[in-house]
Amino acid sequence: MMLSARNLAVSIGPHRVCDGLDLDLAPGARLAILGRNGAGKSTLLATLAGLRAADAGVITLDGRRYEELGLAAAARLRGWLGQERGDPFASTVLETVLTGRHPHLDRWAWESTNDKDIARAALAAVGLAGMAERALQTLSGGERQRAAIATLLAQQPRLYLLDEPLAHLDLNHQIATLELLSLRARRDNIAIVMVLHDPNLALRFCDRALLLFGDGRHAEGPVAAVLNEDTLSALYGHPLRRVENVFIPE
Amino acid sequence: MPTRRRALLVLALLALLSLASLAVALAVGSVPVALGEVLGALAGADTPARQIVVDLRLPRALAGFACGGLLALAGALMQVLLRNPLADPYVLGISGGAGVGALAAMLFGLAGIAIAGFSFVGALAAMLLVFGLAHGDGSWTQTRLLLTGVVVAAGCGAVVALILTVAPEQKIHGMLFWLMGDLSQATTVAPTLTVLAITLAVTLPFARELNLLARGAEQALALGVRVPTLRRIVYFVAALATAAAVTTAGSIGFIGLIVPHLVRLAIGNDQRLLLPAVVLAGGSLLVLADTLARTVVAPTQLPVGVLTALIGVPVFLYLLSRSNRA
Repeated sequence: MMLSARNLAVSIGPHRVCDGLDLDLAPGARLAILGRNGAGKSTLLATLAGLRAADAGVITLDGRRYEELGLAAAARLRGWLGQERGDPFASTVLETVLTGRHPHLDRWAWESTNDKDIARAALAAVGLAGMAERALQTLSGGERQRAAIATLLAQQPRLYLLDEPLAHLDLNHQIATLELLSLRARRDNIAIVMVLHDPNLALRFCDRALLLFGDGRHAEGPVAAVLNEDTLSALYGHPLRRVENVFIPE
Repeated sequence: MPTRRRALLVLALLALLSLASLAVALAVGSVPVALGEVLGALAGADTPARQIVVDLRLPRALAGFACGGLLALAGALMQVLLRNPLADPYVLGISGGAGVGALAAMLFGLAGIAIAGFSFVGALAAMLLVFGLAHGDGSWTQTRLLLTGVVVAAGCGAVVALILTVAPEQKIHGMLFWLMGDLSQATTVAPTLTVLAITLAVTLPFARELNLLARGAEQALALGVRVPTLRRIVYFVAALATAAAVTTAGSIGFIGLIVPHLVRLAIGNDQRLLLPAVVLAGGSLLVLADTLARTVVAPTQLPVGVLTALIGVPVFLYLLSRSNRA
């Protein structure tokens, strides 16, 4: 298993995010995390990424715990896309994407031509091929989001942990990004966990879903089993009805 | 993004600039010394100029270079640590602590090395106080560290004002010079130069990790940077650099804020190049400013801190307005 969690308990202060969560993600699998604002989706994702400690339970990457792996080896296995985009100092898009190469470089090494090729390929993959030398600050919110995704692609991890990868993206790039991720999962056997807000996209682009109900309860399983009118209505606290013949972007 | 070769080229040019600034500092003054004589005196020739160049001007020039380098390095590190372009070496109250120490020493009638000792102790006390308070509950956000430092600095400022109020008339002038930054008392340069070498040697191995830290702690952690350890190292190195500089020459302003920005505007924000470059640029700038300070209205010596501000502010504003289009 690329990512496993056993009996995982996560909380934010007094608020319980999940308790007794078991999770197994094989290479190539795509898991969507769904839930209301404040349910703890990002917190759970950061915990799975090893960035914050869990209250209880064990997380393993490829069979090894984060403490066994160490920070650098973990960074070569899993990439994490956070929500915050803040760069107080000017830098180019290419420089930003090259930071993804950090775990692959020795302490005194400088980025090689090969690293730059990897970064440029990552930029091309997210549709920013011509933007390498642009100042990051001049990019739009959606373009910065795609530059952040390119940084994660340049990191070349085998597990992507994505916190709202579609934030700031227009409809076209939402679909393009999800198709890119699906391609990586299929072709390169990348395991993906992503926080999404649209159950329709989860149904279409993921094979598993994890619902966080916000009170510590959760439900996890294949999308067809987990995503239905009852669970989603309960999840969002708003009645949802399944409609088959709607227009969706191809 | 600089390549390693371009970085070495830039550093070589800045090293030349540093040597040139030192040469100017040794040659220029109330008694001008020709460049050939300067070199002769440094080589050990027993000329009349030897005393002026080697005993008077060289320690002061080297002290200026060391202080400029330390302040610029501390400023660059603070800006990364706090992820705030407005940060400078003094923002966390270290110079305030040093100021309280130095002025207290002067108030008690101490002189020379005792003032340096007191100011170093004051700087260390402020550093530990801010670190302890900001780190109290185990979390360390930039805002908390910044606010703690700013408040401690404000407290030190109040104590400095209090000392100035109660100090006898004849001591006020010396105190004001110290507060504005002054290299005329700098005679022992070996410790300052040593601190400069140590701080640079400690930070350079972490330069690429600092690039990541500047972009955000969580992202850096996810990319394999040992963030809490790195932050502690950067904090203590920057604090030590500031304490050493302030102890040697008082609170010289603007070098620590402006030199990192000047260099960043010129060569970008890759810390692997930026950190050594700001040391050379900051050192050169302070040497030149100090040379001006002691010659421009000779025999009166101006506090060099005033000149660094008078030079630094317009140059910085000019470069900033030029780079707006980027």
